[in-house]
Amino acid sequence: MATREAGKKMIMLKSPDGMEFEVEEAVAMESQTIRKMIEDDCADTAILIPNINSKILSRVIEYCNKHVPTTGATGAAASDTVAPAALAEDLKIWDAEFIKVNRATRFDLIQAASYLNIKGLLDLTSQTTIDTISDNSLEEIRSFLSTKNDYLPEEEQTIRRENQWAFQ
Amino acid sequence: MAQQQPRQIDATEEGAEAARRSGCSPAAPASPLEVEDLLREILLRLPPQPSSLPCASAVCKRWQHLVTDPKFLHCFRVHHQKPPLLGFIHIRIYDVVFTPVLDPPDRIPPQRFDLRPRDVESGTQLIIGTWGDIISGDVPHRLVFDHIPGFLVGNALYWLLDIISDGMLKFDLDEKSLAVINGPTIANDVYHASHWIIQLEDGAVAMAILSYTRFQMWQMDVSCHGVVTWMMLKTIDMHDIPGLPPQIEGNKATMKRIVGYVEDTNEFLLSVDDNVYMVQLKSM
Repeated sequence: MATREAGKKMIMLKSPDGMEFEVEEAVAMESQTIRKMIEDDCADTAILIPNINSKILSRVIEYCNKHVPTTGATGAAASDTVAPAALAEDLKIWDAEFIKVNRATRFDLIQAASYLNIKGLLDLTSQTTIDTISDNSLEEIRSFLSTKNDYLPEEEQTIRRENQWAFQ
Repeated sequence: MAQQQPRQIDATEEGAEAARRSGCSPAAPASPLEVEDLLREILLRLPPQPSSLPCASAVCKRWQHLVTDPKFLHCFRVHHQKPPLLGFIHIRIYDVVFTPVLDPPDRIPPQRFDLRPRDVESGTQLIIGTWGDIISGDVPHRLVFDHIPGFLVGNALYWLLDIISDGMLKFDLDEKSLAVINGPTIANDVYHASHWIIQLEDGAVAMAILSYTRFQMWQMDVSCHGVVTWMMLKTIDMHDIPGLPPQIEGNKATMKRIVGYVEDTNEFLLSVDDNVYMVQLKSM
């Protein structure tokens, strides 16, 4: 078993493009998908993460590394000396910096967060996506998200008329 | 450890399934907006303000289908926990008015909350705002307007008619039909009593009648032929309830009325002598 520090179990994560990432088990267990595997006693092997390339996987690990002490799931002691409120504020600022990525990367992170079942990361990435579109017009939203408007003009008119108040 | 064969994450995991459906691969990742589960995750984070979902509906048919799904709406409420205050409902003497408090585009027009019975020249009509067609029927009785809204029990709305034995007006929400249901026959009917419709724990409709100092509970039974009968569940002398005042003199019905019922706690709100008392149904 690979160990980096005394008492800390390490897990090897492999991306499909051949990169290997050695991470603490506690960090890897931020992913509920990986946690389940570890709890099912499959932790002694390296884990291949399909669908998530090394660039995105390294960002996901970076996120989990930052977030692992505050979840308390492993009883990590790093947060004991810092007030919870200050720590939360620090994490918020860190998250805001972390998510300053282009749209394609953010979408990849959403998929990775969903695939690996990391709720905090899914919250952050999805919420950021919504925040970027919430003040835009319908046309801007469609164009920004490359979503095709498949309504007939009269269908769209009906929808707008039924809820006219919401489009003011 | 490096020599060991890497173990692939079980593809039956929920996330993996979603990713597989999208057909994504490192070379050509599909947009999460194309994957139903991921799109749902994203749209759940739309703000809870009332204009959010109608606007999302207008983006495209897929979005509309998703945000109008009852399961999505349930998750949306759970995700946001505290709903925004849309406005307040003000009860006036002859009608009920909704006053929105949010600014456009979240300002819901009062007409959207127009759900009330109205007297019109040709009888009584139920007008359901702008949501659907007008359903109408003749009702040869007066409705109780005394600040009492309709009662929703199961899949039907009920409004009390003025005289207890005349019963109530029922609007079946499934069949979109109006009907008058005769009430129980009681002694000392009419003007010196106050009545209220409640739902019993087993889902049955019941009518509570307060004819001070007597309080009665009647359960409505509907036979397989649709015939309605009323069965008296209990009669209580209000003197037996500690804390309520002794007999009040005078015939003014407004001096002793049922003014509300709290379903969660099975408590009646009774207005007696200008004071409001809360009485546990089970303690009666």
